[in-house]
Amino acid sequence: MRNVLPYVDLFPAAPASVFSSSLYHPALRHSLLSVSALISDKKSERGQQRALEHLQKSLTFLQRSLSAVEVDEGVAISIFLLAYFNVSSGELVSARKHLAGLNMVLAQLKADYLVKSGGILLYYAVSPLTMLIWRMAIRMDFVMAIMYGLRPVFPM
Amino acid sequence: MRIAEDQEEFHRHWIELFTDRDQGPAAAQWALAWFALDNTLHRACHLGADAASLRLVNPNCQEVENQIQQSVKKLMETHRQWKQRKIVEEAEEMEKKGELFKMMNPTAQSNSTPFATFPLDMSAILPSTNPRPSSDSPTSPSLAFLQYPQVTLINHFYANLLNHYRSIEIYLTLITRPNWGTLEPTRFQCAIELCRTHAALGEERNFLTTGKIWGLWLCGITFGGPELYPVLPPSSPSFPPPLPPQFRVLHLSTLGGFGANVQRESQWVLDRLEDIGTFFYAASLTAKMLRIMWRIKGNYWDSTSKIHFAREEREDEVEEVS
Repeated sequence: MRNVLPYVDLFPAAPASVFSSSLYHPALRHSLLSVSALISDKKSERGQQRALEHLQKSLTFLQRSLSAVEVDEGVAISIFLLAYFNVSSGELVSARKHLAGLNMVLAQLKADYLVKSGGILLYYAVSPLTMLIWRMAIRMDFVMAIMYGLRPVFPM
Repeated sequence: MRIAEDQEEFHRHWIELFTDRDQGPAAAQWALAWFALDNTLHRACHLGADAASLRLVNPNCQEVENQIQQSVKKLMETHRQWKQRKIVEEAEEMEKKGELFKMMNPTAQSNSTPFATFPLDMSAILPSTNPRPSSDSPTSPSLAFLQYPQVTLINHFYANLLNHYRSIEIYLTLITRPNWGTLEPTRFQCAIELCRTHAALGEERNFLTTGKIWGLWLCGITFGGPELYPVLPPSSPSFPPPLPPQFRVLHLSTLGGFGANVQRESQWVLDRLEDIGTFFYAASLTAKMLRIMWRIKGNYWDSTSKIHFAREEREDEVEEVS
C-alpha cells in the first residue's frame, strides 16, 4: 500500500483500517478489490477483467446508496478508490467526475454531522481514516490540475 | 472541512491520533509539514486557473497582470515560510552536517554517512525503509544528475518533501510567466536542484512516486525539450562532454544563447520518467505528454488544456463505443 497511496508511511494503520471497514461495506469491498485486482493483474499481465467486474459491482452498490441519499464514510472511501482506479487506468476525466462526487459526499457527511451536533463541527466529526482519504483525494486532484492546466475539483 | 493554513490546529487532532505512534511526535509534525505543502500547491492550482481565466478575458491588461503578480507573491511568501517550521529547520541542519561530513571525508561511501554520530535518532524523521540506493550496481542510474555535483542525502523523506517544495516554486513561476520554453534562470536553477536531489534518491520506489512524477514533469517543462534545446539520445556521438562543476555558473549563463548542453537535461527527465513508468503507468503517460508539450509550447495553461481536451474527446469516444 505504501507504494500505492501517499502518506501511508506516516499513517501505517490506514491500509488495515480500509480493509477492516470493507468487511461490512459491500461497495467499499468491491472498490478495494477492483483496485487490488488492477494492480496485481497488471503486474502479472492478466488484463483488467477481474478489476472491471469488481468495479461494476461497486458502482451498482454505490448507485443504490446515492439514489437513496444514504451516504456514509464507506461510500466516500469507495468513491476515492474508484477515482484512484481511473487515474491508474489513465481515465482522467472519469477520475475528476469521481472526485467531484466525493466532494459532494463529504459535504453531505459534514451537513449530517452538523445537524446531529447542533451546528458545531468538532475534529472527531469524521474519522481520521476518512480525513486522510480526503487529503489523498486533494492530492490526486491537484496532480491532475497541474498536468492538465485545470482548476482543482476540491474548493480552497 | 477547509483547506487553509489557519485550519492546522483543527486538523492536528486527528493527525496526532492517526499517525504512527512508534515514531513519536515527529510523525505528526511531518504530516502537518507535508499537508502544508499540499495546501500551498492546491491553492496555487486555483490561482493558476484564476490567472488563466483573467488573462483570457482581459488580454494584455496591465492591471490584471499586477493583480496576478501580487497574488503569486503573497502565496510565495507563505510557501517560503514552510522552511521555518521547526522540524524542517532541524532536517535542513542535518543535511548540512551530512554535506560537511562528506567534504571532510571525501573517500567515505555515500551510504556510510554516520547517522549514529548525529544527536538525533534518524529513524524518528522517517528515512525511507527501502535500502539506501547504491551507485555500485551496473544497472543503477548514477546518483548524480548529469555533470552537476552529487548531493549527499541524509534524510530521504525530507529530500522528497524538499523536491515537492521546489516543484511548487516552479509551478508558481509558471503562473506569473506562463509562456514556457523560454529562458527563465530562476526556474531553471530550481529544476536543476530538483533533479540533483531526484538523482541522489536513487531507485527508491516509495510513497512519493506521484510527487516525483509531477516534479519531473515541471522540470521537463522548464528544460523545454528539443524545440528549444535539441534532445539527443545519450549514446549520440555529438553528445557534449560533461562540464566540470566550476563551470556550472558559466553553463547557466550561456542559456541565453542556443541552450548549450540543456538538451541533456530534457532527455534525462524523460529517461527518469520511463524508469518510474516500468512500475507506475502514470509516469510513462507523463513522458508521452511531455513530448507532446514540447511540440506545442507557448502558454502553459493553453498547452496543457489542448492535451486535456484531446484526452477528453478520446475518453468520450471510448465511452460511446463501450
